[in-house]
Amino acid sequence: MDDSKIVELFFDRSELAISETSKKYGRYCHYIAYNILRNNEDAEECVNDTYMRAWNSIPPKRPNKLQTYLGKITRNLALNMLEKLTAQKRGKGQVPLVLDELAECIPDERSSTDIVEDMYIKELLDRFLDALPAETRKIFVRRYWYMSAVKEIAREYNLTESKVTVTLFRTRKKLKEYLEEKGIHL
Amino acid sequence: MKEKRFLHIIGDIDDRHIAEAAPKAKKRFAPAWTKWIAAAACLGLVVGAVLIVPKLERKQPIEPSEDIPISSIKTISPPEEFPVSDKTTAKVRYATDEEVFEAVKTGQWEYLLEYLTEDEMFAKDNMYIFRGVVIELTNYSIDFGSTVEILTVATIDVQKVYKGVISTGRPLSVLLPCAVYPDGWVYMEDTEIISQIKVGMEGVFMTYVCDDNSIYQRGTGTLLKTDLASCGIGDGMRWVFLDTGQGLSFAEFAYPGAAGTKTLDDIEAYVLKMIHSTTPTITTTVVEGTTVKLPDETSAPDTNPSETTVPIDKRANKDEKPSSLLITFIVAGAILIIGAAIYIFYKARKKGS
Repeated sequence: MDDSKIVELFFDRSELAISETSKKYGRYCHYIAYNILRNNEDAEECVNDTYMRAWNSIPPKRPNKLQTYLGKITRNLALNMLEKLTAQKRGKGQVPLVLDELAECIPDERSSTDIVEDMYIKELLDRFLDALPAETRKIFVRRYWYMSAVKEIAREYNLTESKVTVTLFRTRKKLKEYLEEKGIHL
Repeated sequence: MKEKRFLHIIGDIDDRHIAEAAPKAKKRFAPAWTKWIAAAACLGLVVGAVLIVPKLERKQPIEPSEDIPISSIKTISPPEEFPVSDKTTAKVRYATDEEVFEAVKTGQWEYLLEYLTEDEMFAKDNMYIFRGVVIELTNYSIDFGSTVEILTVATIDVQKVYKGVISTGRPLSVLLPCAVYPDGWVYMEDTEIISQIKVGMEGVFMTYVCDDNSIYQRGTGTLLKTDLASCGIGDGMRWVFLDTGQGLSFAEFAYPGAAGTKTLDDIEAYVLKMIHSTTPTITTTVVEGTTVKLPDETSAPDTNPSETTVPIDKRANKDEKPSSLLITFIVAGAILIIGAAIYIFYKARKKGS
């Protein structure tokens, strides 16, 4: 079913909205949640919470891209759930590895949780990503948004694992330089 | 923690970037039960290869094992204890970051920086010298009984081989002489170079080769090194040349001939020169009417390595490999046919009901 028709079902408060959403994007949301939580039950719970959030927010919201709207909700819910769960760093999905990698490109320690600052960094990120070649951008987003494993990214884009690893390494370095250039200093 | 906050910030990037990188549906979203079919087929393949293939192979020179033992495949949750061979009496498991951090802070490792000249380092027998990219770092906790030690294994994608019987384009597990903390900024004396190693880093590595006699003993506990890796780095200062992204890092005191090098390509030229100069010359005497046989031990290094450098040790009998591969494929094919039959049977039952 087309996204616009699914959104109309939400507006009509039809129960079919959830079943159609689940049919079209259930696996996509599960993929995102599972990459973070590495547990099927927790991922399912996260996906169900996503449907509830979508139900409560549409209307009034009318997402332009339903897929990414749901994906963002799922990702945030999964990250919040992960923070609550007690877990060892190794062997618990890609998040600990991703955090280690991202540490390289964060120029300084921030104690402020200024929302405006976050929005600025987010804008910088979008501009940075826009300037990247498509393949590099997709690898970066798959790794740090979708939390996909390097092996999986290499398989899907028909690259060697070392090419993916080196691409991520170089892009993180470029990102760090870019953020520093834009006023986020050591 | 700043990284966690950044992780949340990345979550809000533009929708078109997220949509562009979305995973392809058909590969990602298989029903859960198909994973069990695939897992059973893979397990059967590996068991078959492990049981059948070695019995049919003739004796080969020592090659690195298939680098990643089953128990450390990252798609399966690692067990609390890491399975090891009978020669390892220590208890091995994955180490937590906290354990690694404490170990690096307190500096637990014991090794002596054996004095060797530059020439002696390159003339050592039974070693691999290669160029590659670090694709993974895994930390292990080794409980020897009287003491617990944390060690790191680096998985390196081999891109060029200068010395030794290893293949390019395959991951090689390398036991490091100490633990490496993920951030890489904490290091103890005598580990300054190796502590900088990170995933994604390219370098030139000089490793000793592990075999069935490579036992590491602390107190009454033992670790057979091949339970964790195919080869190892001797100490935390020498034996590696790393491109950190901000320049080369290596022990200049040990390699005076490498003074002035700026890139890994410079190091490659230096390494090749050293291998060539420290390798005994093969001499043969040609007698008219006889066939000259070269000694088994080949020592002339490649001076012009390509991206797929042929290993120097010519004892490797390439004719034997196709039969081993053929048998492996036959076993794999049989397992997959059984898996496919189970799948079809299940689908048929589902439709019938």
